[in-house]
Amino acid sequence: MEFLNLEHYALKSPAYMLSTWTKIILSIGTLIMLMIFDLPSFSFAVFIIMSILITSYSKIPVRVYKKLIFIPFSFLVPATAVLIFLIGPTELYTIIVGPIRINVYKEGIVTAIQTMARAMGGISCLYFLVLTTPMAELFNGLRNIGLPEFIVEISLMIYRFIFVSIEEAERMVIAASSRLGMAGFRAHLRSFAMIGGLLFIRTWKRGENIQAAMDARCYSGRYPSLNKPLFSVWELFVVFLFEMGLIGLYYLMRWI
Amino acid sequence: MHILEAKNIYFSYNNGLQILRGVNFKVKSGKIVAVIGPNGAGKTTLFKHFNGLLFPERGSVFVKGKKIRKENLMEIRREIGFLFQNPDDQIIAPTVFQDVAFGPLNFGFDENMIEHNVREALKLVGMEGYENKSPHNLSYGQKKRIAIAGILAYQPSIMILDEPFAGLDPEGVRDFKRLLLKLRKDLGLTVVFSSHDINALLGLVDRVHVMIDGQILLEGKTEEVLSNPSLEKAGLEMPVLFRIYHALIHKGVEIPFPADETEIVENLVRILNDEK
Repeated sequence: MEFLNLEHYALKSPAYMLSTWTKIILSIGTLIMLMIFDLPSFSFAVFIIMSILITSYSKIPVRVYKKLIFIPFSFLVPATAVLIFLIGPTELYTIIVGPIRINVYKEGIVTAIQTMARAMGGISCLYFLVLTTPMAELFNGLRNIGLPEFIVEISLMIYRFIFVSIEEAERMVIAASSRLGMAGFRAHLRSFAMIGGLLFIRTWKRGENIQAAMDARCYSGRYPSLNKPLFSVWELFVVFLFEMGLIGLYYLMRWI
Repeated sequence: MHILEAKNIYFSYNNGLQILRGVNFKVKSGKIVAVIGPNGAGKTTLFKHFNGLLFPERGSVFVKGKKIRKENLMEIRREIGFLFQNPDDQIIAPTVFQDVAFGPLNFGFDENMIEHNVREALKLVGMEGYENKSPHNLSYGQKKRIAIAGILAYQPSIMILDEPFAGLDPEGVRDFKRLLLKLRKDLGLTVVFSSHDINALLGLVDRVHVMIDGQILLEGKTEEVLSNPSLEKAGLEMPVLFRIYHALIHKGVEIPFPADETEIVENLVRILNDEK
C-alpha cells in the first residue's frame, strides 16, 4: 500500500524544505494555467515537466511515481475512451455489432485527447504538492489563510485516525486470514462484514482512549504546528519565473 | 511529605462493578514505585484517579498536598504526566514534533519554550532528529519513547505509566529501565508504574504495591514484597532470583538474602569451596 508512505516520501524529499506556500502556489498556479490554456500538447508538456520535478528534484522514486500515476490513469482511460463514441458529428469509422452501429467521431477523439492531457497534467500538479508537503503542513498553510481552527483540528485528527484504523484493520485481516477467514469468496465476504462492524466499535473505543489521553494533557482546543517558514519571497520569485516560462511555452507551441 | 496520596478510595464503573475498594496509596518524592497485580485488579483505574481522569465515589486523592478537584484539574495535570499502555492511544498528532508539543501548548508555554522543551524531551528519550517523522512510521518502542517525550515536554513532577513494559522485547525493557532511572537521576521525577514483568522491577523500583481485587494486599520495599511467599497466593510469581533463594533455604542451604544474581552465585561458589 504505497499511498500509506506518501508522507514518508514527502518528509524525505529535498522539496520538503521549500516553504509551504511555494509548493501550493506552484502546483495550484500550474493547475490554473492548464485550465486557461487548452492545448493538449501544452498539457502533456506540463505533465512531463511536473513528473521530472517530482522524480528528479523531489527525489520520489520513479517506481513509486509510476504506481501512483497508474491509479488515476486506470479510471481516466476508460472514462475518456467513451468520449470518442459520443461527441460528433464527423464520423471517422463505424463498428457494426448486429443491429447496433457504433460511430467513432473525429471531434470525440480530439475531446478525449484534450481531456486526457489536461487530467494528466492536473494530476501531476497535485502529486507534486502531495509528495512534497506533509498533510499537517498543508493544513497549517490553509489555517494561515483563514481556514477555521476547528476544521484544521478535525482534519488533522481524522488524518491521524486513518492510520490508526488501517493498522487496526490490518491486524484483524491477519487474524481472520490465520483462521481461513479469507479463503474463498464467501468466507472473504463474511469476514469482510465482520471486520467492518468490529472496526467501527474498535475505532470508537480508540476514540475514547485518545480523548482521555488528550484530557490528560489538558487539551484546550489548540493544535501545535511545525515551526517552518510558510512564505519565502525568493522561492516565490522562482515560482513566478517558472509560471512565466510555462506561458512562454504555451505560445511557442501554438506558434509551431 | 508524600507527593502523591490516595486515601481510602472507592470506585465503580457504570455497570455497577466495584473496581476499587478502599485503596490507600502513598508515594514519596523522587521514588520509583511499582504497582503489580493480576489483570482486572484495578491498577489502571487507580492510576486514572491520580490524573483526575476519574474521580472516586468515596475517599480523596492528593497531589503535593492538594486534593484533586474538578476546579484544579489544570494545575494537577500540569504536575502529573500520564503514559497510557498503548502509545497509539496517546499519540494524536501527525508528526512527532506536534505530538510532543501538544502538552506544553495546552499548558500555555510560549513558542520558544515549546520549541526548546520539545527538543530537550526528544533528546532525553534518545529520539532527537525524529521531529518531522510521522508516528505511524515508527516502531512500537519508538512510539513509547515519543509518548514519554510528550509528557516530559511540560515538565511534570510525577509520571504515571500504565504497563510501560508491555509489548517491549527484553532489550526494549532494559532500555526503558535505563531511561526511567535516568529521568529520576537527571530530573528528580517521581515515577509510579504498573507491570506484570516482576523480574523487570529488580534494580529499578524503591517500593512495590501488590493490588488484588481493588485493594492493596502488600506494600513495602522491593525485596521484601517480591520475596514474600503470599505473592504466589495472589496469583503472581516471585522473581527467579528469589525463587532460587527460597528453594535453597528449603533444602537447608544457609545463604544470605541476595540483592542480585551475582551475589547469589558468589555465595553458592563460596559454600561449594568451603565444602571442598
